[in-house]
Amino acid sequence: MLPGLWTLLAASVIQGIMLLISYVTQNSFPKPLTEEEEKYYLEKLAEGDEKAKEILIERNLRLVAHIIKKFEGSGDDFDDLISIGTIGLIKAVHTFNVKKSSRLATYASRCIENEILMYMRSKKKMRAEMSLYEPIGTDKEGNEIHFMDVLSTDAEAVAEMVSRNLDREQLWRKLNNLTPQERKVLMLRFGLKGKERKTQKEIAKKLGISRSYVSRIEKRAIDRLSEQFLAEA
Amino acid sequence: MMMTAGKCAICGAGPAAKYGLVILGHYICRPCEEAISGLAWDDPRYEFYKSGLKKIWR
Repeated sequence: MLPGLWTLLAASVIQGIMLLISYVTQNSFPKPLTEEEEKYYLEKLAEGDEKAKEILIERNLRLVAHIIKKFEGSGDDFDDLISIGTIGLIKAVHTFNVKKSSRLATYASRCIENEILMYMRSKKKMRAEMSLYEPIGTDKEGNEIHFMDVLSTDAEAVAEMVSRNLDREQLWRKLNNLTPQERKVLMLRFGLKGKERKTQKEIAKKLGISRSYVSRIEKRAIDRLSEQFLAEA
Repeated sequence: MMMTAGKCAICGAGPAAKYGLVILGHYICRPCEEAISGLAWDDPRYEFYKSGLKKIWR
């Protein structure tokens, strides 16, 4: 990398860190909510109180700053990480379900971290991406040749395979939003990632829990995945 | 915390009847708030909202 670029990169990181330090040292972040306060504002939000939503977001901003510290040295712009974390926090407050999680702060931490990780992955993926319809040259008669034209399989099969792979990727992304236990149960139950399909009884034995508990976890995980797919649709 | 100008920090729209959010004194209009809450990582608008949100931390 050119020395000038190094200087710019270093300046960007330092500027970001300074911004964070100034927030922390000047105590610019609104104080986090206590459990009782959080409960109170969540109830207000459920009643449609817009101000409660603002308070729930603002008073959890400290979480964003705390979580992005984990990504120091990732090479990503610090300001970008702050913004992405804030997007994760806004999503968390919008999707939080009191019946499913105990504390908003716990759920929001997961959403913020997930948002950053997914953004990083999608950025990395985009770098190596190439469209099937990308022109890669011309034939003898001067007609444009697309990437798809030179693939050994026929075009429809390629498009179908790509679509299936995209569905699979979408499923993997959504699996990341489940708890490790829910993910494990689904992977074993449906033989994902090349694993052998197992019965609920076999999974129960493997995880040292009851079959009915495995059944409940499986149902909950499928419900959560369905919700995610429906939300996207 | 001081409230900044009433325009949306992201899209620049003026304060509408539909409320929106105020974060760290910066107003975010309802359409932007709703777009952010449902924003996918591969959405072409992601960069736009990401850049807009930087303003609330400055």
